[in-house]
Amino acid sequence: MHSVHEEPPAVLTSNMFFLYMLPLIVLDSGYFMPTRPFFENFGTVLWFAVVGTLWNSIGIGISLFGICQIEAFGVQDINLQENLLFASIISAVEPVAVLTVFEDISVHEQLHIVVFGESLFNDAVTVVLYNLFNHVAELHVVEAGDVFLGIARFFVVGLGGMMFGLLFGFVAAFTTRFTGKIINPFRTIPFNFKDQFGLAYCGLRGAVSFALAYTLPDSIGPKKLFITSTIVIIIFTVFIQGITIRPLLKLMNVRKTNRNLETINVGIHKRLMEHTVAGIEDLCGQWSHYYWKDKFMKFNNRFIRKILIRDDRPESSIVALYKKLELQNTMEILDSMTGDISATPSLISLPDERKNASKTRKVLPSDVRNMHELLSKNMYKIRQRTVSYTNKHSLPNDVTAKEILIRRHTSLRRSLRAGSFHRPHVSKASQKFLSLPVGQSLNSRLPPGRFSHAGDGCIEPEIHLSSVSSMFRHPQRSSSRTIPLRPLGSPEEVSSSVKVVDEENEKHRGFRSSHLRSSFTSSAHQPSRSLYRSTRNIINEDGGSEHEEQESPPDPHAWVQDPQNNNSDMQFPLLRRSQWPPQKPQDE
Amino acid sequence: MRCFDVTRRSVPASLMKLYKSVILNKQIHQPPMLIEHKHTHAVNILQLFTISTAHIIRLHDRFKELDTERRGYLCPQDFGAIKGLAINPIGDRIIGAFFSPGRETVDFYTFVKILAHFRPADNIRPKESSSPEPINSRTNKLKFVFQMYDLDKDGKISRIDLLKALRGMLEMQVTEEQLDSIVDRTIQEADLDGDDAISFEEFRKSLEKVNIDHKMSIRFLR
Repeated sequence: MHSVHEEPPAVLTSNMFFLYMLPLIVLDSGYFMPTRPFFENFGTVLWFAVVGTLWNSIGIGISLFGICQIEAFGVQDINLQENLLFASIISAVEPVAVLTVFEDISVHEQLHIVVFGESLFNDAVTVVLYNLFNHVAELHVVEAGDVFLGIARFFVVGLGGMMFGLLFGFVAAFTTRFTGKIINPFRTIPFNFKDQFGLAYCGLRGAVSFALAYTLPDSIGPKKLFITSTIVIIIFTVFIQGITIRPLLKLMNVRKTNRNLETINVGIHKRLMEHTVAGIEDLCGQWSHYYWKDKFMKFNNRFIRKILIRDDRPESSIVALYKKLELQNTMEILDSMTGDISATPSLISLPDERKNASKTRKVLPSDVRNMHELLSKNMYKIRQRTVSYTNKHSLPNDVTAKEILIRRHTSLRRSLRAGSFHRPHVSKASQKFLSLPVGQSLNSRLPPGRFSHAGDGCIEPEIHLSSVSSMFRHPQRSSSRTIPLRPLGSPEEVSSSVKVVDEENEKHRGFRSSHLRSSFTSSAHQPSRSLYRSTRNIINEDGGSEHEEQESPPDPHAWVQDPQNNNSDMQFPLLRRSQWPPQKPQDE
Repeated sequence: MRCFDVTRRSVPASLMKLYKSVILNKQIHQPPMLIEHKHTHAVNILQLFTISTAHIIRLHDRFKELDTERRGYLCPQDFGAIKGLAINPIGDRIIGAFFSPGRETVDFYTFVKILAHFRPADNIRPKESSSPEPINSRTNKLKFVFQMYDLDKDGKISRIDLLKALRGMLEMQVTEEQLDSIVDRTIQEADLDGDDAISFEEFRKSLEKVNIDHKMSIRFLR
């Protein structure tokens, strides 16, 4: 290169790198740092960072020095300082590539956060070491005093760096990651062997190494050699290791993270457990990471948020989770409906095993169409505010959530006026029944001959089928089952029979009922009451039955019984293929 | 983890001395639980000894520290003096867990026993059905959490229980309406038999995917 150019092609002076580029890199890492797992693993991260790199640099330096002494290689003139210098350059593990791969294959949280934290802390201290060795290398004779000065300088620079944003990090290099025996005893969740291997293998080198190598002062003799070998190492680690990381980790089945939304139950219970452990720790007089996390959160809420954030009302993560789940449910329902049908999701709300005595709070959004568009545009961007942004590519958008809540509240008020609850405890159960009024069994209603492949028969509205089936698409998400979009308590609405629909899903898949569709269209802007009526009308024409005139439920209790029996089944109707016919007869 | 089987080996003298001192410090009217039932003695001590000696000594130091009046037992006021617990939203429930129904005081044995719930679980456990489940097993940890919720001790988490717990945890951040909604949804999700409350089995099922051992363990008790 020197023969071709007078000066290096890129004007990457050390100043430019250290002053401008590095802080930005660190800022980017820090901004998207997931706080909770990070602090939980703080010890490990620091251990890797601090002790790991020191050990590493020195180890590599010395061993390289030893190798250099072998005459066969003909590089005997590289002295120890220079070797150490090289070692410090090489120790700089590159975070971006690794994290991208990790993110992509959803490695479990622990591994992810350790690598993340380590990279966060590594960039600058490699630099510190580099400076140190640089300085040392330039001296021809290293005296004892110099060594101590070097160490002192190291500390000064290190602490100074820390003051400027906790720039603190070391890197454990590829060859010395035998962390199992050293770190695992201190960890509550130990890393298994596969995790360790993943950690070790992911020591990719990249930009920082290159920059450091480039900025080596010319006084170092073997500079060119160093640059070349740095480049080789970078290429090796990035391409070969990087490309093979993904299949290797998959192969070894490194534990994956759980990307599904946790249920609200889990959210609440986890929070309670955290409080419990925090309390017990206080009891034992021990400080642990919960203590620090708690302190930090309090401090955060009291000062930092007020200063730095516009709306400083701290949002509980439980509430955020709940909102998010609701939104998701809403969207799923809306997704399954066509644009015409703006009618009540409440009728097709999922099996509600619970007869809930309390007043129903959740109400269908009134202006469904707008909401549908809004939601579908924003659905996957919604994130909780207090929870860390683990994915920097999706940022929160609270507008939608607020809008929906507002709309809900207004429609709630509206509907509360409209509804009347004779028997509120029935509402939950009987919601499920779409096509039959309360108190009537299927058997008596419809001509048995009509449905050849079932004992009992019932109309199956296509719309409900599709919506229900779409809602059951993800059975592992139990939260999607229970939609809090309940109808109001008026008895007619109450008798909609989604339950029947659910049970028939599998058998009557192809059964079309276009009449229902059109009736839905006509009742587009009516609340559930009219929909129900139109539904019953359809049954009238299809089933030829005459029961429609009954508006009031003769005996809601009959229906109340029924859901009880099937409650455990209702959870996964799609899986209960053999449950047909439903046990309706025993009601009558 | 050192486990001393009383039936087989002799207990280290220092530890026996410790226990003797603890026992002797108690009030006379309170029978020391350690030697209460001879037939369960071995089992109890075994359980107790799944915490290593060093930890027990440390816990005893803490016990003495909390026992400001040097009575050999703790009463609710002693617990209340712990600042962290006082501001913990479920602090009073945690304290309540130490006092078995009808008792007004906590002796050292109970103290350690409750805290033993929070040991990280051992991975190697011989799968004999004859030995009682260790106190830090997943089930027992879950039972402890269940206890935190179920204040009226009817074996179920009712809406009221959940409401109270949530209100405590969420403090000022939610409206009553939101709270009700959340409670509704929670019960909806978990309740399988439709009784409007969460039984222990339903509770356990709802948490089947969660690593309880990780969340409910204190590191220093390993």
